[in-house]
Amino acid sequence: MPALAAPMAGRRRGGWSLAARNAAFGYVLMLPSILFFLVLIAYPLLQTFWISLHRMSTLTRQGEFVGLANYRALLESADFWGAFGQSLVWTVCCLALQMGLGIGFALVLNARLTFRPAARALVLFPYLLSTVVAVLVWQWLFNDMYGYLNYLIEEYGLSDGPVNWLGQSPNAMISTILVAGWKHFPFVTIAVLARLQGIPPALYDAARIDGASAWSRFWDITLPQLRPVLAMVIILRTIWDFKEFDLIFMMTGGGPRSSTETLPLLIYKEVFPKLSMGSGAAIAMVMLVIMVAFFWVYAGQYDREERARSR
Amino acid sequence: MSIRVATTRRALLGGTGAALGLLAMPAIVRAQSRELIFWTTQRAPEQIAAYKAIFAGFEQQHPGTTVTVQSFLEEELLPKLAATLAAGTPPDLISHMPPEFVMQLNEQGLLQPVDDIIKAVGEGDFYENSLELLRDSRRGYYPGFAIVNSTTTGALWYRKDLVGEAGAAGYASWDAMLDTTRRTNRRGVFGTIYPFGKTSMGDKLLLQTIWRAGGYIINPDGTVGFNSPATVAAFEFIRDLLKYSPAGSANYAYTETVNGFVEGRAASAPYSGRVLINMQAQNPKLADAVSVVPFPMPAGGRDVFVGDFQSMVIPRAARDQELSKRMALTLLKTDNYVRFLHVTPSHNLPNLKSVAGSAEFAANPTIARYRPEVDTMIAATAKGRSLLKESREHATNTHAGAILGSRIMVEALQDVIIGGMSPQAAAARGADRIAGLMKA
Repeated sequence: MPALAAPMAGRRRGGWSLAARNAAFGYVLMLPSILFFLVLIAYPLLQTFWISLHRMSTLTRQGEFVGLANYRALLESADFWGAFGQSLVWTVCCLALQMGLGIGFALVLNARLTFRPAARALVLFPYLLSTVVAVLVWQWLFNDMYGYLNYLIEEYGLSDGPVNWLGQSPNAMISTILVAGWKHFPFVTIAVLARLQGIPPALYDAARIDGASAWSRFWDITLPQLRPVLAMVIILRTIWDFKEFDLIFMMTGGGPRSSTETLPLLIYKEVFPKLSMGSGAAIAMVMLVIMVAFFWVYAGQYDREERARSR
Repeated sequence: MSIRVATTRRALLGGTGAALGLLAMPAIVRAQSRELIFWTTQRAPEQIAAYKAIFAGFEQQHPGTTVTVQSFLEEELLPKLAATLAAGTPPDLISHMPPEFVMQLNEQGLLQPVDDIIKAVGEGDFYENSLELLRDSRRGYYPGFAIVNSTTTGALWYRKDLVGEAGAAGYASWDAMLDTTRRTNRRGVFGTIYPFGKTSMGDKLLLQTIWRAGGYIINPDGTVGFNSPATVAAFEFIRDLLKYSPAGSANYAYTETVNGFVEGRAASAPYSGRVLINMQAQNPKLADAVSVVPFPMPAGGRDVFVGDFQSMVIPRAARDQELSKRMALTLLKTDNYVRFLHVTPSHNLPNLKSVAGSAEFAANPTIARYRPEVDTMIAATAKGRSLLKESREHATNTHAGAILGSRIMVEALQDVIIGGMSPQAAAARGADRIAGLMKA
């Protein structure tokens, strides 16, 4: 059978079957992505872990291997546990504030407003502002000598003297969380608004015909429809808030005392003033483990819910 | 209709070669010219303009060189330096580096000795306190030298009119300062501003208050001296003083302090000579109502101030050490040096005695108008020291940068004022933390 023999021979060119060559071609196509992963994710991660096993100078990047000593010192350090607690408070409060404000504004902007396009553009303003400018503006507002907030408070007799917004605990943490909430809530608004606009109006019409109240419509239609986007927003914002550095550093520098010193600020303190790259890397690795654990739990929960819904 | 273009192989190769040559031109030009990078922590637009003008002269004298001026915050220096060292592109010359950083970098072998520069200028022309501070006595060289000899904390500015109205005694001692501060405190005007934020200024002012009470952070024998009666006395004095300081002082640094005084919201405040520049520009009606005294001390205290000693260094990895040294010498030429100092007259004070006493330095309207105040500041800077070497008896403390950077000292003060801890307990806790850092 010469007509069939020729293609068969082609399929076994160089001893490789067609399937094997297709697979190899697939791997070749994946190679750039794998290389990017190795260079941009795997290498820095392994390098950070390797550094965390050393007592190393930030400037010379030379030092001695100390095994898990940096981790042991970390777990015994009161500064670490303090910063860890502050990071949790910061992340949870920021997230709650951003989600509340973000969803609230999205619902308002989804309604029929006279100046809806302008309002949608304006609500983005804090998110577009650079952190440095936002911090300067808020520091000015909070200032106890010239700040507008204190001026209003004193003008309306709400307090005898100026409120110490940033120089007293827990005011400093609360003030910084308020600024972070104001700065980042538009991200939640944009994401939620995009999803709100995709919900079929027929669902609400049907609910209205069935006599559902506004609260029932929100709870039974809007919220379930928002669930996937809220899940993604919560994950992203938790990651970003947990590792927030610039806003806190510029607002309070971690003070007063250590009341706003979160883990990223502690890393900075170790790596730069103390020039201790190894202990800084150890904190960074611990932060990574916490984030991965959080992501794992959340992704698992979300997966279970999705499977239950599709059944 | 089609057009055929005949191309020979030789023409194609020639064209390709020419194109590649054109593409490579910028690299060839770069290789032939030398781009020098100059870092400074002096960031005011006028200061940058002065540097650029000075280096324009340098470029003319050294054809083929270009100098790029880059300015950063003090806090940014180490992160940026770490990044450029890792990338193999460190700056060629750094100015206004805190002396504690200088010795920290020197300890790691990252700096080039600058003895040639000091000798070329004349060792005897530098103020002794600055040379003593920046000498690596173990290895026998200077890893840097102070480009200015100023103090941001040593001078206490005050309002002559308010002190006069209150019939107050002035600021000759701690007791007198407390009394004057109490008397001058009124609605809309605070008796003083004592910044104690977790900032460089908060740390330095506290350090100076402890020194002037007679204490040390590290004793001459190398043990931690932070938990001494002098520290406790300093905490108690500051606690009393803060009754007349703005509520937000726990978050104040340089800017808030100078602005508060210049705007007329405080009867006294520590700061450098920048007060005079800002006062004339922003609040000229008070320009004749201000004067300065050395920051007070209690009876039996130690007459010493915290000097800034911002220094000039050459990284060991700089590409052309010789050119770096010539750049430094260009900045120290009297006309250039005075030109730079006059951009912020009385803020950056000279570290060369010949310049401090020169007619060129005096020939500035601000310095001429406030000559007694400038002399008071120069006298205070001559008594300046740094945590690097708290007294002549001390060895160089290479952990000084880490102690200051971690803000342990000012945090101990915050423990007392904000945390309600007793001064003794806060001093003991601070001492433990400093001891831990010294061991690291």
